[in-house]
Amino acid sequence: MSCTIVVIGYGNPGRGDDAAGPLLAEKAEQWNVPGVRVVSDYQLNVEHAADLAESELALFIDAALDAAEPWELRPVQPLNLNDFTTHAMLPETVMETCRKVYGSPPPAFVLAVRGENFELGAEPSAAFQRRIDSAARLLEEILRAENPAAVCTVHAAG
Amino acid sequence: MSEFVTRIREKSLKKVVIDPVTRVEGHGKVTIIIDEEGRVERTRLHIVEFRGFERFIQGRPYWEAPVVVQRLCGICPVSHHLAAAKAMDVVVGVGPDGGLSATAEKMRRLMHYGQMLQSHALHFYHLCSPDLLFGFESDVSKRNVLAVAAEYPEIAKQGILLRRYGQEIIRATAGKRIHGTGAIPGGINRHLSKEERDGFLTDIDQMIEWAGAAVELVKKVHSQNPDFFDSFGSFPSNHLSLVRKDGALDFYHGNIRAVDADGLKIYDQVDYKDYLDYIGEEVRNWSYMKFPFIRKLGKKNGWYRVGPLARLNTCDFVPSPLAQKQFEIFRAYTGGKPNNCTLHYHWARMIEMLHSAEVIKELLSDDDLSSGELIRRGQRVGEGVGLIEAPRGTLFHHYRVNGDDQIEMCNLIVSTTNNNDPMNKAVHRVAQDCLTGKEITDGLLNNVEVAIRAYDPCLSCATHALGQMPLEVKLTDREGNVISARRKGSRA
Repeated sequence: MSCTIVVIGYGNPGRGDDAAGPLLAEKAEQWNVPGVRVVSDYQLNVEHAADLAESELALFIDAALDAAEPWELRPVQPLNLNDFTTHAMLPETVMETCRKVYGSPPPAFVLAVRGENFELGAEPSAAFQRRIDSAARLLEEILRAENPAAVCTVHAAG
Repeated sequence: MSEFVTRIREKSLKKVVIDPVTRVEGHGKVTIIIDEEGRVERTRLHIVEFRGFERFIQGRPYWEAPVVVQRLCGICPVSHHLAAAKAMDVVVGVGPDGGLSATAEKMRRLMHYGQMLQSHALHFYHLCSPDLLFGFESDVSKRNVLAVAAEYPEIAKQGILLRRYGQEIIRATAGKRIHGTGAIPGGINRHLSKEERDGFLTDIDQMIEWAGAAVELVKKVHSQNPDFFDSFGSFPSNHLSLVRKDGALDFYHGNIRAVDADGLKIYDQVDYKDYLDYIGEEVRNWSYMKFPFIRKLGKKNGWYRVGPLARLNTCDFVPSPLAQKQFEIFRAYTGGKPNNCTLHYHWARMIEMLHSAEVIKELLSDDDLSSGELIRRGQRVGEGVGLIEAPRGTLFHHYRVNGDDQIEMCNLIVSTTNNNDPMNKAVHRVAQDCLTGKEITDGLLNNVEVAIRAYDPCLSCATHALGQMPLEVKLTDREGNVISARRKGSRA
């Protein structure tokens, strides 16, 4: 089950802008890029540590209230946080779980799409759709690049 | 907080609040009310999020329900998916007893037992194992899965892979992990491919072995301090679940059985379509969560427990060999009477995880999964009830559908709601045992969490992006004035 890149899009599509992760994961799945494995889930959890262990690069995709407009890309490092609830983990703690159980996790980045409305049953706004389109262009650029990690690093620095 | 402290000092008041509960699903707040002498008078586990889901789904076409209800909860969406599908089977004139094709029922069962496996694995290895492996009074830095991964990496790895195995079963049977579409009114929309089946069969014996080891681990931890495990947050109660017609444990389908604390049957083999005649729901003004009760016993005495402990107390046997052996040990421990020990939920949960793995193996060997009739239709009716044993307990879905195929009425009793009164009683018992003075100590905070977590409650629907899933505990006097408050913040 070894792959080069794992894309993990997470969120609840039934809650407005929280759909960002699953929506972008769906697009990545449709592109069918060789060497890319796509995982879509409601929340991050321990089993995603196993997904990281099988990859050379990980991309977490999430909605975020405090992200820059329209999205931001940032590197993520393993972090031993004591104050999280393990029903829904952070990328940092998934990375740390991977490090403790499987050894060094791959380099990883979080693609955070700015979100504003997370109400049950809320429809995505026009602004949110523009953010998704912009984030999708970035994601496709990364996944089709010769050196995806380098592209991530450039955009994260920018 | 500073305002509270000032008021406390000025007026010497008396209230404890724990808000919200970490390592449970969602957001909880606990209030402990004490009298002038500092004795615990009342405790309350508040549910602070109002879901409003029953209204949200009104007006939608009935066939959407099995998919849309998964928005209710990102923790056990499969339970809602299948309970809604079972209700809609009735609406389209199929089922619930023998109406589905063999393929449809077995695919749904595989999906559900896969869910049981992954949910119980998550709870045991990653939520309660820090308590069991490091102790209930251990340092806060150890009370999480990362500490387990550091000191017991093999156990953590087993938990990860059991959880992942169950998740993959769900993906293969429901189509995807999010908003799966596998179950549809009257059946299922896919077969399991032979390639997928063979892949699952390759690993299933390993899963059974690990699940068996988890049962032994719980028993070992229990044997080190049985008095503590038996008494912590414990109290006699009624128990309720579905059981098969022959009395067997069954997570997917059956009739309602309720027993009292001594094992006497209150109800047996009640057709769940008539649940309203047997189960009432009380509303209390301090919680959004209702308080269900057995009508025959009334509001005061009719409360009951659901979930793993209740299921092993109501059923007569477990229909798989390894889990049945463990069940016999479990039942013998309390002399064949119901087990009313709150922390034995963990023991029961692991026996159920073992049973789930055994059932998955049996189902994977059945050719009906990869061929056969997928969907049936009958005489359309206007109302349907679907019950299922979700990981956390009995889940009720009830819908009325109008002539335009729109849902007019929806009533849900979710598993955690069934356990509302018992969780409050467990907190009360712990507060009585552990509260000393008029301050919330780390020990009290931890013990309240442990008591609530035994029920593996799901206190809100999934929306991780909003991010805060904390625990708050407050100590108050009778007038509601806060004496002491502690908060365990957590970002999810």
